[in-house]
Amino acid sequence: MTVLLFLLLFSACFLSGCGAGESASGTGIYFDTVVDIKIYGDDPEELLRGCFDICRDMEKTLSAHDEESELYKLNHRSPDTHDIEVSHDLAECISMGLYYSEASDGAFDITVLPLRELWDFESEDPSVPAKEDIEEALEKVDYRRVHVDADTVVFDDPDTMIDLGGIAKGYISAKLKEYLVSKGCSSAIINLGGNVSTVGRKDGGSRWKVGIQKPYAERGTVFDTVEIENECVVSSGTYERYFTEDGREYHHILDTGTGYPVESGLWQASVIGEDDILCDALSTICIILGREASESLIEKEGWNADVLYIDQDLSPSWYGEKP
Amino acid sequence: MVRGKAVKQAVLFRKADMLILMFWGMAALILFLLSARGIGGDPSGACLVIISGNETVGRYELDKDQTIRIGEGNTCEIKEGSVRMVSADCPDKLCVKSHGISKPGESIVCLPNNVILKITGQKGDADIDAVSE
Repeated sequence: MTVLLFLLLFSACFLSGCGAGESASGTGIYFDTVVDIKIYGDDPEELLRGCFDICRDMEKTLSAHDEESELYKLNHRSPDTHDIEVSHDLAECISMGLYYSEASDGAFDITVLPLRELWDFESEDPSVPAKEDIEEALEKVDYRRVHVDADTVVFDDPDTMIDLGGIAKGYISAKLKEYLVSKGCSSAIINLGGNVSTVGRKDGGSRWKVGIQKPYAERGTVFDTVEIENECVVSSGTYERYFTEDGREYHHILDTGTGYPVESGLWQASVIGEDDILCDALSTICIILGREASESLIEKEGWNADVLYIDQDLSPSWYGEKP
Repeated sequence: MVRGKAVKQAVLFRKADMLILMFWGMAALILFLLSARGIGGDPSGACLVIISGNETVGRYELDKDQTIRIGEGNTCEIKEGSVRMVSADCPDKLCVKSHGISKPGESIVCLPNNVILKITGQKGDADIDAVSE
């Protein structure tokens, strides 16, 4: 009887102190992206700090715009520098980018930066560049002029510049997941500016519910919902950044063949899979190549992913199964 | 003889029991009160969290209307349970153009000034955990 009472009181005390499942969440802005992380389990606060430390490191490494970053310095190297030793993360991320550039035969090209800077979709008042300027910029775009050998980046051309925008978020969320799993975490959700990635299931045991943004609708308007575990959802769309000039819309996903925005008939592609880097690169590749060509590429490469395509009349179609 | 010893032990136990019970009872009460305070009175209630320069700089209940100045550049307003950014010195003013927020999980972001207004609180089971955009 005494022991029983003792135990009862002890457990009541414990419950009132900590609650059933511990969790911690945090929000911050890194690499011009809102980062939202929620972690369930033991020591969530410490893991959260660890995650934001990784974000800070990655910001100093992979950002193409931050003048202090390693990538910025790599892009603004002196013209007679051909090979530069970089951090392992930068070398690995460029190398992954080159893999997807090659697989998509240059449709996705990490050397698109000179063309992207010319269009400057981030500026306050973007406009269509002159045709000759586009042609000049296009000449600088060719992923085959960059090579990675261990942690050394080799450039064949002094004008080549690298933009990891289509893959960096996937690379960073993969790193965060790897870190969390290595620390024994079994339940977490990471949102890097709309790239949603998950570890395990939700604390309560159910799968994570992730909404997919409806193209051209108010932010937060959900087109469809998927339920995932250990997977990520990455969406790319023409609606993310665009401007209108002379009644025509110009969006930010550029065709490295023509130098103008791609016209594949798609408004959005959302990719769901366990490989964060694949999902990030593939979401852009799908918009660029369109439905048929991207589906045959997925088959050919044996990539493991489901894709929701939304075309210009808002009609959806799935490759694989809706999770 | 054996029986007598047992009775004596039982009596001793009872005194110690009382002390232990009182100790744990007090401990449970104190912890319970602390945790209830931590939740802030309304366990499912929405609350505004202001994050500036990646640090949480303030938490506010939504039931009291007020205007809050955030650093040098931004000002937000709580009015009738909804939060808006009313002014900002950033170039694009996207945060000022954003709609008001009131439900847990909603946020308004001023990227240039590194300011986030976020509504926290308990989400319902049917609610989505995040939006892929």
